[in-house]
Amino acid sequence: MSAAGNAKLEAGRPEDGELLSAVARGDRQAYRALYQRYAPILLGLLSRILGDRGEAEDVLQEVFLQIWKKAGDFDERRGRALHWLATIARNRALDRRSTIESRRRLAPAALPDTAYQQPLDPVDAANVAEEARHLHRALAQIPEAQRQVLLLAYFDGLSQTEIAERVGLPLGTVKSHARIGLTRLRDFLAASWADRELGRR
Amino acid sequence: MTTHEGYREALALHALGSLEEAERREVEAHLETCPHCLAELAELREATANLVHLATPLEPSANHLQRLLDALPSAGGEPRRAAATRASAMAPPTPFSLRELLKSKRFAWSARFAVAAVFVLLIVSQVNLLERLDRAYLEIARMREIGEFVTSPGVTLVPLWGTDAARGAHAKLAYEHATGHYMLFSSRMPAPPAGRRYQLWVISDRVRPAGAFSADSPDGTLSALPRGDEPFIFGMTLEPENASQSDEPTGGMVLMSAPVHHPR
Repeated sequence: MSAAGNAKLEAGRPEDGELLSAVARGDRQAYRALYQRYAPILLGLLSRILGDRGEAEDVLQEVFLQIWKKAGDFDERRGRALHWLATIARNRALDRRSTIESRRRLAPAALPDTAYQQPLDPVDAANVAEEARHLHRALAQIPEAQRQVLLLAYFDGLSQTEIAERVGLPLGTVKSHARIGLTRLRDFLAASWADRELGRR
Repeated sequence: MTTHEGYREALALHALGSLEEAERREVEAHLETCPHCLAELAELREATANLVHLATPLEPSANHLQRLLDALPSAGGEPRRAAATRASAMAPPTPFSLRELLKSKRFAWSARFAVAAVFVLLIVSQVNLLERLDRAYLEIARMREIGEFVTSPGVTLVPLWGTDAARGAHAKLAYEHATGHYMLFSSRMPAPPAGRRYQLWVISDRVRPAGAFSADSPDGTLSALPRGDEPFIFGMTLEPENASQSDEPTGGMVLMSAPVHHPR
């Protein structure tokens, strides 16, 4: 790593991309910082998918081990770091969930009962909370039926057919709900970020 | 479902990972040939990943990070122990020491040589493999770039054929009218003789140089584009290498296109 890169890591708040490329070079300090920044939100995601805190912590270990090995695969041009991490976490959690389901019928995924605790770093927490506000605002503009399809697919990992059975809609309607809902979400989020960037200037 | 629009309809479910297996395979096959759908899928995946913010952050338990750090492979690449599970955060493992193994009397010289040879072989094959992987990744990225360029809407594809001077040679020139960016794909082109290089021309009622061409870097920017003097043809000649850019062709024509009209 360049001296400048090191100085930046030591000085304070490196960008996600810098952290991930430092991790790709085997930098444990950067790895620790990345963990502190994103372990809480990823654990929240895993708990919500798995409905079990212990399983979620276990999968979180797997996720961060995978990040240690694969940090070099992250490409900043293709999207945000948190989204890359969340995609890894979600895939692992859905795999684990189907393993568990094949062992026993999973109780409906309940929201985790653990009380919300502040993440370690208030700046990280504020950034995550800001993104959450953008998402909530965008989702609020999407009709309930479309939103429900998105959430059943994302958090429960249901297929098109399973969603159709669950909500009692034809397959084609599920497809168009997913399409319109996700396209709107994309557009609202883009607009919301553009507003924020303008607000910053 | 066979149309582009049909596949496009399915992209959101694909981004969410909710397509049934058969349809997923069909969509993936389409994505290999459709950069537009590929780009849209990337956006939809990014929108999907945003849903992570609906989760409530939870603080991992106190020793979670330490167990994780203990489970990381060490700098030498040897895992200190297998991936940690919840049950494994107990007794510290005995570290494996290559040095002690090599010092032990039971470990005969012949075995030391064998181990050394295996290590060297492993390292050499690893390096080779990584280099080949790197090259393969670059190649894939390049192919993707070419695919995206050739299929983008503003790009015209013009075939060129070898004249008597280069029988059997042929090429396809893909160029973007708005920017002049081009890629030339050629086959069975004779290597230019020493001190000469290929030069592309735009020929209508006037003859204008459009750029030097070398087999190593078959893309660049056309320095001349037809403006209202259509139809025109593309031609390729052999010119002296040291001339910065010839204004008039001096060598004979090697490749020629048919007359080109631009859609308006």
